[in-house]
Amino acid sequence: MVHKGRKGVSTVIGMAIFLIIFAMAASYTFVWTQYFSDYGNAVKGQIEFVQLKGSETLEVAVIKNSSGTWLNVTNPTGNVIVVSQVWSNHNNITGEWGVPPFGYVMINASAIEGGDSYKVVTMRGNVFSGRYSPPGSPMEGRWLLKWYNSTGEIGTSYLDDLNINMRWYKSYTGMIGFNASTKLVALNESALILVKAPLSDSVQLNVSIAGMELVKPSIVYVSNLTIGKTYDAEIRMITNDAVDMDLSITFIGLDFAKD
Amino acid sequence: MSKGVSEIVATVLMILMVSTIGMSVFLYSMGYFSGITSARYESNRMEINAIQENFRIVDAIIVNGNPCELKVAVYNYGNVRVDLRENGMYVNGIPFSASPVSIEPRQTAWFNGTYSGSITDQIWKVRIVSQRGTAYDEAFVKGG
Repeated sequence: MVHKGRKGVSTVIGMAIFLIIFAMAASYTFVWTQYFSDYGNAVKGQIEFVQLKGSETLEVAVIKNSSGTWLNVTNPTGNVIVVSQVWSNHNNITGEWGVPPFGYVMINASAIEGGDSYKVVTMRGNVFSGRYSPPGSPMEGRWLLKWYNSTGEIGTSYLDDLNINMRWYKSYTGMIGFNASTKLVALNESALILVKAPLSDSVQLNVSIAGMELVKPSIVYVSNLTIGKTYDAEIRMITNDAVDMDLSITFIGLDFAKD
Repeated sequence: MSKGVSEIVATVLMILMVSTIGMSVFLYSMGYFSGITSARYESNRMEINAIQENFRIVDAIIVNGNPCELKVAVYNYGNVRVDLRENGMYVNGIPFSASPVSIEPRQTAWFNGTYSGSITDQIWKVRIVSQRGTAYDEAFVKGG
């Protein structure tokens, strides 16, 4: 009887100890697993956030009318984009402007003046920037061509490159020309400008960049440029001849100044 | 009789020793595991906060000269507070003197740094660093 009683007690104590160890191991395993789960959820949330951020696209344009200066912010994506800040001249306007999918909002930005750069910051941390170009000034990232003939200016064109093919009515014999201007940023310390040759004798062509001007060049070497600096570029062409002309000017080591 | 007494004494002593050692091991392991658990909790919290820390430069003012000065507007678009580290500003690898700045979520603050010298490079590669070690890089063209 005595032996039977001792056996029973030790079994109970053994079971109790086992249960305590088991419960503690289980609870610690649960807690540690929960930490990994929290970490995994945070990573998942961040990945989703980055995906949404990467899908944000806005088209911003400055509109000036009698009621002031406005930013027309268009959302071409299928997600709502929230604009939280507008920067111009190192000053910011803070607020929350929700741009609906495939919709637009108008943001009052009276502080933006001609030539000012502006930035639109979204709540997810994307920045969309641009520069306000009043009508008549060169558009950023393009050539502004002002065409004229003997009577004066006859029109303007905006071109992404200077590949101009001119075909004439043979009955036309008057002069025609253009002034092309833009701002170019130096990508290297030296740059090349290639003009497709030959040009007719009656064609006058002047290339002006970084303070130097060349008359009817076929190759222009520009050296001592400062990388990242913006330079004014101007091309002037006049022709008195009614011959067809293929004028192609290529820039190497230079790119349009975007801001 | 004496045999019986020593058997009881030995049993009691054995129980005392076993229970003492057992309790010691139990208490030690409890402390050890709770220490690991709290350390794991802190580490996990720091890692999650570092993941959720998002900030960027939205504007910059370069005051060139000797000394030169750089002011950057930093936007916190994450879910946790960003603490920009003291002297956590570098331009082309040169450390700038900067006071620490705290930015709450969805807020913007200016982070100002100075360098007692001049930087002649046209392009400034700016890096700002938070207390958690997150870095953000951006390049600016001086006078551009």
